[in-house]
Amino acid sequence: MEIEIRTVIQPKPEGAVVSAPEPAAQLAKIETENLCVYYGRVKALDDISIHIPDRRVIALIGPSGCGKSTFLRSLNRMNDLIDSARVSGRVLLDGQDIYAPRVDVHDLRKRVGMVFQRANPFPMSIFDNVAYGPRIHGERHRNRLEEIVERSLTQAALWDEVKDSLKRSAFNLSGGQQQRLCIARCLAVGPEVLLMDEPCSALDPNATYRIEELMNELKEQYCIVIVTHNMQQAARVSSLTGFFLKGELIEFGDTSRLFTSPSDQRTEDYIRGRFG
Amino acid sequence: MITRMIKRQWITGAICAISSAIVMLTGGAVRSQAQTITGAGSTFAFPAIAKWTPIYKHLHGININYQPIGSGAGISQYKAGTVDFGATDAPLSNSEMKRMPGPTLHIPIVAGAEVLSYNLPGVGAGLRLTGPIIADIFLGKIKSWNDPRIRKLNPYMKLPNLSIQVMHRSDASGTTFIFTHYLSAVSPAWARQVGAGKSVSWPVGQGGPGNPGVTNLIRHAPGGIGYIELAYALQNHLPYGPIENRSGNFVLPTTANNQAALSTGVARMEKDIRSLVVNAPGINSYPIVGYSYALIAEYPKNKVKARETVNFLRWAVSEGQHYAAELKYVPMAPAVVHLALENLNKVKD
Amino acid sequence: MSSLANEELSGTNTKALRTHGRGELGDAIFRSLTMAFAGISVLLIVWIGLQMYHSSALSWARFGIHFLASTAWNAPQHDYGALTFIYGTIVSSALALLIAVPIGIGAAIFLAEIAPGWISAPFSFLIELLAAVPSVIFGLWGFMVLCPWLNGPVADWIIAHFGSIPIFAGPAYLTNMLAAGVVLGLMVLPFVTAVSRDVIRAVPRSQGEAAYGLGATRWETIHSVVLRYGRSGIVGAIILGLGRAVGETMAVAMVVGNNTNISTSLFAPGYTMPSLLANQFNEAFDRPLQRSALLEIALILFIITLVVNILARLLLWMVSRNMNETGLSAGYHVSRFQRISSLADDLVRQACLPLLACGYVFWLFLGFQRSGINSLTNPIIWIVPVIAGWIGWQNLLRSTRLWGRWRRIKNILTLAICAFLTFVSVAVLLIIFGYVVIQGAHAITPTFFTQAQKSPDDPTGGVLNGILGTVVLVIIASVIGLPIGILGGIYLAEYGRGRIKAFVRFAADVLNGIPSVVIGTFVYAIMVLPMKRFSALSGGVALAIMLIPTVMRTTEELLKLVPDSLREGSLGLGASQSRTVIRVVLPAARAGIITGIMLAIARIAGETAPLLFTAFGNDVASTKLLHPISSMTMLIYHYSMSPYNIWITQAWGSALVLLLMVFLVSLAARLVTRNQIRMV
Repeated sequence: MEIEIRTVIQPKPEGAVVSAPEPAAQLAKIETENLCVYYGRVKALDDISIHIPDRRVIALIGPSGCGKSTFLRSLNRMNDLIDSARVSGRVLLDGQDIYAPRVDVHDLRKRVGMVFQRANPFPMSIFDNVAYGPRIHGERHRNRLEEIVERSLTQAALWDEVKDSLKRSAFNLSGGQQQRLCIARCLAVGPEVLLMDEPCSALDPNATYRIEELMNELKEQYCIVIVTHNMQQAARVSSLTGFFLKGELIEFGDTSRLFTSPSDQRTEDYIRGRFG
Repeated sequence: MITRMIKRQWITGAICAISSAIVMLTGGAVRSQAQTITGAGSTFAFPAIAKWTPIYKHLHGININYQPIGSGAGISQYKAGTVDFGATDAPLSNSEMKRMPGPTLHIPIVAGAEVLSYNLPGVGAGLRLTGPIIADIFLGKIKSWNDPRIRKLNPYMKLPNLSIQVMHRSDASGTTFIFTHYLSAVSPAWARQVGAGKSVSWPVGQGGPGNPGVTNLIRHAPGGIGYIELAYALQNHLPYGPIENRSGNFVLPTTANNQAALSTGVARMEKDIRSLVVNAPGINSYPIVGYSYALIAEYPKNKVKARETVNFLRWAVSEGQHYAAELKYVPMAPAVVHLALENLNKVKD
Repeated sequence: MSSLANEELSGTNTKALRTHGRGELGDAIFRSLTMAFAGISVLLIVWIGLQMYHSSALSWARFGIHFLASTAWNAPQHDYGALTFIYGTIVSSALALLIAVPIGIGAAIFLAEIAPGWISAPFSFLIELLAAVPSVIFGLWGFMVLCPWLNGPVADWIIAHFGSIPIFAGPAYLTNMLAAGVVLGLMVLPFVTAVSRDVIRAVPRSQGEAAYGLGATRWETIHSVVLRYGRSGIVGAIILGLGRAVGETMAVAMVVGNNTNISTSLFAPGYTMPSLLANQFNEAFDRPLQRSALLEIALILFIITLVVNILARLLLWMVSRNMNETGLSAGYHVSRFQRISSLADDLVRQACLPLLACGYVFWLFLGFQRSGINSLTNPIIWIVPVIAGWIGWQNLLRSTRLWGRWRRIKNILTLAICAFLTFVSVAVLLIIFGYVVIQGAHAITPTFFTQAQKSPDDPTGGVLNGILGTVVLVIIASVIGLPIGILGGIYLAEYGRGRIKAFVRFAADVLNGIPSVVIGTFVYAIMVLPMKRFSALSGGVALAIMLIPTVMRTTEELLKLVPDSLREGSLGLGASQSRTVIRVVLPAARAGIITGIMLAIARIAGETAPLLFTAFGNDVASTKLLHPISSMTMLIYHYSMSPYNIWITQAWGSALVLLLMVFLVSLAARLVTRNQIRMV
């Protein structure tokens, strides 16, 4: 699973690092340097350099196939699972390159959790779903597991709804509940970053609202990166927004500014609904 | 347009397949004009019949399709009317005779001896055995080749400490019928516990299909022993030894010894052709001998087939005996041949 | 469709629409035809069931339920019971699963989740080829190669080390239960592998991603998520495999030992239900009670087939439901199944482990009594401490920082085991194939193909009677079976609706699962007895009955692959439905259907058991419809069970010819259809 070309850093003459507007305020939680991702011969991400601060919600928008999901997946090396994928450039988590040779990818994914487009609970009980992560990472103690499960479910605002049916199959939950369960499952391993890949696209407005509310609470503790098709959602939940187009990061900045006065014509075209 | 072409391909394809099938089936029938007689049953007689069929085809142009499926199946299929003749080494009992669809004739076609062949690495031919010891081996009471009782009989043989693998038939068999009748005659324990029949409830052992199957099992299993027709042992160079007869002599299944045994039964056979001759008296008599019979209907439905069958059997009991003797079958006594021909003449064809 | 609009439009002054057109009548006829042919599979099932039930009445009246509990099988005493054979069938099948399930699932994991495409594709193909090897060739190889090996070094070693355990007690016999179990295991293996692989592949990606996203290793993901998700499907595959093991006839009859006594030791001979049928059915006609008892055993086999199929279909159906509806509504089924299985887990943990521990201690004690301190030099004795140590080691590591590294090591280790298991199953195929090629090559002489059987000491004999016989039998089976199968398949894919369709499909599946030996007894009863002769025709009918369900299901599956847009295009031009099916849909699926048919034919060409009671065999190269006829497979069986070297060589030679044929067909099918059809 080692990727050979990862250390090759391509010189980038014109592209200045697009960074958050308040760089001095805090250190970046995640930082990418000249990140490129290839699927076979196709270049899916072209030279992305970005600083993602901690304890914020960062939204990534863009038309389908623009590379925003690929970008998200390169942040916890989910792309390793695709045989044809290659990565170059660097991704720094707290200043450490996650693509460095001796990095334990399993530990990395524990620190950088992921929530997917469709709720994907395991075919187990609610309790086992949440306890799955801690268990594989070595926790066997029943009381401690119960503690973790309760804490995670509470954090994911699901505890009150399921505390009496922890032994029931996770499939019995509604779609929105399942998605919150997946968030709880993620939180249970104690991540620092939460990557969310269109977490609400399969949910009704009410369930979407609950998830957005949850994100608002979670950002007090976590760095959250969310990919979304829904620009209103991006505007509602995020403090920073990045716009991807054809594998390039066109613009990255303060959400309100990006939506009111984008600096790039293509961004404006997109948020005005002229394409995509 | 394209679909029509494809359709045409389908149709031509189908026509080709069907016509070739018809050509195969009918043309084949035209090619193999020769009459075929189907027989089935005894594997005891099979080497002889296998020897006869090409010769008979050569002499008379008649195909004999003989399937060695065991005497029990031979009787069954004869009764079901699916074969032109059945072959069995176990003559029909009275009740079996009654259950047949019509009067059935027994035609003795070969006489032969059964030997106890074994597979003992490092031990040659000539292992001496007595009736009671054979019975106890097949009862599972004697389990090892260096059992004191066997050692005592064979003091000069180096018998290995090997467990005995008993081989028997998995089908209903006339060979079994003769063998179990012999065991019942020499061992009260066997008669009580198991008894005699075409298929018995074997206390121990492994079953193989037909004489060939048992021979094959013996060949492959170190420590194996089984009862097979002499021809099989000779054809496959399997060792066997002398067996104690009723007079207390250890005798080998030589043609003379077998004839001596069989001759004691001729008088009884003249009364009832189905008589058994196991454990015959006489100082030279080999104790496990018997006949293989062809079963044919006295009032056959298919006269043409019946005529050919009778012709074949007539040849088998007369000239055929000479060829069978090459495989160490025992040439049948003139009186028995006479009986067989007499019975063949009864067929209303 | 046109008649519906008729009423409203006929009043207007536009051109009147024709009522009932020619096409419609043709449609109705065609539809009824497909329906009738599809109904044949249902009819056959009912008929076979009734036939068995009817014919076993005598035995049922005589022995009643006691038949199932009696170990007697004594022809002279007219006393029959099925327990010995039921026991033998259970033990050999259980052994088979014990071998096939771990290897099969390991290989399936490797092929579906780990191996890159360029390894996975050819290996999958090789393992599926193993499924195409005819039963009688497994028997030949099992008797000639496996039995002597098991009876020799393997038995010596096992008896020396485990002899105190009753199931491994000596002495070892040449043919025995263990050999039957191993052969069956090898025969079931490709089936378990192929179906499990498909199930694992069908597990949604999102499941795996969820686990990886939490930091699970590949093994942890496969073990606790993928396998768990596909569990009911895999269990379904195992049950179907069990169905095959239970009904397998020839290979078992050749190696199991055919002794009617129950013995606890696996090294002792035994008997199974199908092998009893194969051995005794032909001879039981004149003994009504024995025949009836045999047919009651056939009935038991038939019922087992029914139950196994119902269970397996139910489980596989649950999986497909899961996958279609993204697990939302299927939650109930899953959770119920899960509750049962978690109960089973608890049972295993809480009851079996202590029991095993007690057993181990007892065994230690026995060993100690026998050979004192020397018993500790036996390496086997250390297995349990090693396992206990392993668990303890894991628990120790869990709390340390080495846990992560340990997980990675375990990951690599288990994945390597899966890869190893895959290589094992491929190696088995290569070994069997190698033996057949090396031994069979000696037999290939000019006369081998041009001469019929001759006496066993005549080296100029050949197997022409077998080759011709197989060709004739296959032609008869195709002429009868293909129209029925294809039209039945068209019904299932194009016309069938709702419950009737589901029922027809289920009937086809059951028919497919009925042991071939049972079909042989059925055809004997309906054709051989009334006609008073064994014949190529009845052999062909028996094979046709086996061909129908396979062809039906293949045709259905391949027609379903044809996109609806094609049908709509044709219907939109005004073509009738039957015309659309014949002219458009069938041609579109033609290549696939033809290869599916080839595979089905290759499979029936390898059948032996039903032919023993129908085609019967013939020493003469005959092609006549109404005469007995031989086949390659029957020749292999008779020759390999004979003691004559020439015949045995010819058995290997015939096996080689048969294998080459089957392999070539499979290879061609693989190239043409690219995975549309599974060969298993």
